[in-house]
Amino acid sequence: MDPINTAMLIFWPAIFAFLLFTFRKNKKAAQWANMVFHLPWFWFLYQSCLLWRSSTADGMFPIVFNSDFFPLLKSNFALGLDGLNLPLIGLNVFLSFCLSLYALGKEKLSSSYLALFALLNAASVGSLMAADAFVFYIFWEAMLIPMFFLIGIWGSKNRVYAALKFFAFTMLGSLAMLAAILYLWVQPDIQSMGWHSIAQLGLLGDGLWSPRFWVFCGFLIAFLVKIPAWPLHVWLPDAHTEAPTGASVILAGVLLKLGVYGIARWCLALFPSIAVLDVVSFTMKVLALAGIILGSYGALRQTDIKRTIAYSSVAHLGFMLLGLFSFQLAGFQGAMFQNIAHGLSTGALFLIFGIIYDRTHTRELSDYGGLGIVNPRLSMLFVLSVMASIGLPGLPGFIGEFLILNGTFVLSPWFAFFACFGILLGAVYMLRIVRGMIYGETSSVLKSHPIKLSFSEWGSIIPMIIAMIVLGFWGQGLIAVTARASATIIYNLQGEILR
Amino acid sequence: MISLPVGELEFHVFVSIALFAIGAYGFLCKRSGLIALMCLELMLNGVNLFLMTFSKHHSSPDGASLFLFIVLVAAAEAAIALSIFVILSRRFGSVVLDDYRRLKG
Amino acid sequence: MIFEGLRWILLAPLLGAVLNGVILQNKSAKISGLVATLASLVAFGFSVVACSQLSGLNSAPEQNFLIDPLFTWMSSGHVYVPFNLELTSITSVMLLVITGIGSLIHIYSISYLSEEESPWRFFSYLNLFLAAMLVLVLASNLAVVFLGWEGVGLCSYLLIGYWYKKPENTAAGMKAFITNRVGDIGFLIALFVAFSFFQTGDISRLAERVNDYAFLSSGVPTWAWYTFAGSLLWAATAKSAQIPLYIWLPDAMAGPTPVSALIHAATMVTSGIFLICRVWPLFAMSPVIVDAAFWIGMSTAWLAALIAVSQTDVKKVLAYSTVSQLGFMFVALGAGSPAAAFFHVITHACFKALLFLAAGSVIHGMHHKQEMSLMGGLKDKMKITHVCFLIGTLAIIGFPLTAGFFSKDMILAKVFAAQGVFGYILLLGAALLTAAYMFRAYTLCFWGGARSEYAQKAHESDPLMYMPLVVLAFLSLFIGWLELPEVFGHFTKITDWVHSSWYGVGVGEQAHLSHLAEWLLMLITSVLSLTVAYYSFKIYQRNPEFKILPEPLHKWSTNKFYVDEAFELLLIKPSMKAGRFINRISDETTFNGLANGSFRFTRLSGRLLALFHTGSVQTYAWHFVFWSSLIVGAIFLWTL
Repeated sequence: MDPINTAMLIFWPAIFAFLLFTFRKNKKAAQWANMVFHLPWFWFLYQSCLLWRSSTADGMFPIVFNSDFFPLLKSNFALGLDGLNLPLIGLNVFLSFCLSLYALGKEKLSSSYLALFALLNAASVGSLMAADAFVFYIFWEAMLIPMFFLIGIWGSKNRVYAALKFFAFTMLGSLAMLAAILYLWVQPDIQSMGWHSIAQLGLLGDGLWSPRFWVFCGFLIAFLVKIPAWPLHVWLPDAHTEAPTGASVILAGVLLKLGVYGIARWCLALFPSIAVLDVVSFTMKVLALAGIILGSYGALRQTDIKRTIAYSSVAHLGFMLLGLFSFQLAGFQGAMFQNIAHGLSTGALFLIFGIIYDRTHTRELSDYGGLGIVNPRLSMLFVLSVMASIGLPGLPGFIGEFLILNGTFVLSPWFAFFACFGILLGAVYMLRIVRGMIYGETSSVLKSHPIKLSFSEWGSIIPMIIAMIVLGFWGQGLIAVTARASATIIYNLQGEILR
Repeated sequence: MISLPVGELEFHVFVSIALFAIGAYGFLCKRSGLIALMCLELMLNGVNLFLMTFSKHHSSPDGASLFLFIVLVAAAEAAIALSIFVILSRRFGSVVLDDYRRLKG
Repeated sequence: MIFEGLRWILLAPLLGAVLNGVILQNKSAKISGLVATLASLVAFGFSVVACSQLSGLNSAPEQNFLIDPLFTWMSSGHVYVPFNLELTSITSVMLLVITGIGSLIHIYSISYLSEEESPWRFFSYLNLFLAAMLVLVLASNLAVVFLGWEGVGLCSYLLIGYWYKKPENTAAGMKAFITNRVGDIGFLIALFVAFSFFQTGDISRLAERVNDYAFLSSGVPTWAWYTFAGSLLWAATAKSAQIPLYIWLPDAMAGPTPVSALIHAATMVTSGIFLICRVWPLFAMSPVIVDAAFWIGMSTAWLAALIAVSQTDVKKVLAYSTVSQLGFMFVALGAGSPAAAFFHVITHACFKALLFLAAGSVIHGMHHKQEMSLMGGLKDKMKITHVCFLIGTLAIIGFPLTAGFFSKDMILAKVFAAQGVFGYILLLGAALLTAAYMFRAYTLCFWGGARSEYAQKAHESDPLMYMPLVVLAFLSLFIGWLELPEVFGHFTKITDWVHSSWYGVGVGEQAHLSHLAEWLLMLITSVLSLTVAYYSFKIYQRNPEFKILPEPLHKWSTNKFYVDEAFELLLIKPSMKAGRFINRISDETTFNGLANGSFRFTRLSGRLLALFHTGSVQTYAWHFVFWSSLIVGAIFLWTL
């Protein structure tokens, strides 16, 4: 339970990224080493969970690790751990482990791919735990670089365009955040750039167009790009489609979630007085609804399976944005839950489709058909993931959406009502994929490319499926983890509403 | 310390400016890379003379010490630049600056 | 009272589904079927035990239930959903129907699917369906009911698409799922209202809210009550196939016949009515919605009956007949009598399951041909099936003293009491149409000469298939005796048993009919039905091509009144087109355009600036001299 274990959650993947570079000659060894390297990471996660459970610190975002980083910038290397980021860190470790299983025996995935992946993990866990604005910013930007290369080098045909688009969008968003952070830094009365001292910062005004409002917006824009909220989502379909399977999974499973987490941590919790402004919350809810409905229609239009799944992410993340700005505990926790649920279900969809794509090399829906005959077990798992994605009760997607919509209904029933159509459309576009891919006569592509899965590939999917089923029924386990942290944030927000 | 007689200062300043101007003209207008390099040295020496003049004029060692640094760096720079030119002339078969257009955007 | 056996009612079929679907994956229908049937029988056994436990309890509504607390499903803010199972009187009846008829249909399926390639899939889905349906029935919380509600929808989708090579099957499955999702929006909204306004999703606590004066005076807006009832009604119209969302049910007949019997006739489609029965006290708070249920049911009963008279596929006739009968149940709800609706749910489950299974037996004997124009003269070749089908037909048209007679008579009497003569006559018309089309189907199948070689070669099914028929035929004949009309003596087992679930709301509120009126209604109904049935029988023996409806109507009827086409044209296509258009405009044209435009701008401006990059060191030096002297000069002039 030494706090250094928590810091090791970040440092360990960074270290093993460099260790992986020593396996440049031997791909197989690198892949196995990558899998083995995950085991200590799990240990650090376990230790962090123990630390979290034993901590009795009240208040928001308890700091578990603190060391001098850059005194000139008033910045400390501070890491915090609470119910908001712990599940996401767990998801990150878990997905990464599943992907390390998937990577075994893949010819294309060399040691440099795995090393970049590990660096990406270090950066994403780092930005989840950072409790200092500069540290957060550095990790946040550090995520871009490995992802850029993962898409740009290992992606499919149109990869360079997709990588550049991804980079340009997220970079622009981050610039707004950097401006906000620098503005905070030049404030004379700020003690440090730590999360807590920003939270206590006075004298910025509370109203619309006040300095605090602009700082809020700076952070918000970075996260809206990352989520991605409509209309900043146009990078996502390209990035998802072109990215290699592993990158798609992590992109959907962790990187997008960082946007939601960022809004919760760095916008709602830091600046509750701005978040509850009618203009802000209404705009956000409209954007969320636009994402849900238009994202769903976007998914309906696609003929490319990965693109459809990518658009479904836009719709699902719209739900989460709606939940965040519902200012109800149910909505907020629903968004946090949906984070994990969507990571699992969409991750599984990308992974299963990726495994099929490795063999067929086509993403067109019309090239598929009759997978149910070719590989009934895989089809079953695919249908299960689809059902999780469209929010069938008994699978985790439902709990998230249900809580979000319940929370939204309290203050804005019409938004909840219209968001329900997203659930309907979700069924339409997802079942369209199921129908095209699994039902019908076996297509010529599937006839000429047998879909036989290796042991490690099954091993990568099945843990995700099990996690989904467990979470679908025992969702309370996860909800309880987020309870205390969420309750504090919602308490503050509701206090601001009453003010 | 012996101070310069009046008029001598103007003379020194004039000489250093002239050196610099000749060097600048040569650097901007001569086609040969070697001459451009020499002109570069000329400009440096103009500046050096300037520094020394005023060092003496103000009786302060600042200019003189800066001069020593510049001479040192200029020597190193000349050595590197000449070797670069040797390689360039081998590669392109000429030392004419206009032949080196690899950096065209 | 806590009774932990309830969980095994669910777990048995769930285990069966996992065993068949994940572990065994056995290619033999016998083995998979045996596993599934055993699971179903275990559930039935536990149900019987649970029901006998329940009947031993005090019948006061506060104590008249068994509960099995399992775990907390979710709890966040105002949403608290414990996953508890609860057996009340009304659920106990439903439980017996589901597990009992379910077991019979499992047995039947073993033989029906004996020639399939992957029967394990079928039995796994069927068991999963049972589990989901049992969750729907046993759940104590509306949100958990929704779990079962969507679960049965999923199984229905999977089973309709069981023969997944045929594109029309998958299309039908998708249609069913999506139409039900449209209804689920209503369920979700009802849940939102329940959690945010009534502060609970617990069904018994919701029902108590109606009598809770402190709560009623705490200022819950009226629209909340109406929204709750209205959206539940909307949800029920999807699941129970009522106008406007009935369109999926006839298509759902693409699935194997046992599925049609179990899911699309006996159990799942009645869950909408069951749901309204369970929350009846709240539902009855909104009289407008209750009236809406009446008229929805009435129009559905008529529309479906009108379509049924011209269908040529025997399963389609039965499908529309199901829709029409479900309409009867809605009418009963609308007349303020959930007991009558619920009674009809039970009797209908028996005789419609019987009819579907008998039709399945016919189809099986006919080598999977379902067209009635190919049948005829089967009464000698399939004797047992014939008798069973006849009993089912008699029950559905309300032949005196069969199951359908009592339940339909109860509905008609309640309608007469609540809505007067007009409502009664309307409903009677629908009942007479039932007699006409059911006897048409019966006669076309079993009488006259064989109209194809399939009919000539038809054979009786094996005992595994006809034994369930016999049991169901017995039930169809006698289950109605549980609830007798007033004039037959005061024997009302069903009403007595379930009325505690309604906390006294809406039960016995209507004026009782005099004995004379009751006799008279019964007489009119029976005589008219039997006359119509007799003529239908006679006419179709002579002329199988006879059209009941006059010409334009007949054509519309064979084309299902173009409802599907209207939906397609007016709702689905425009909304899809609009959505796609908006998405194309916003995503591709505008925002992607902006993104790509800014890329292009960057590239272009880069090219412009690149003009300065001549590559010549001396040009750069000239630039340096020029611009620096410009700046120095400017500063000099400025400081002057």
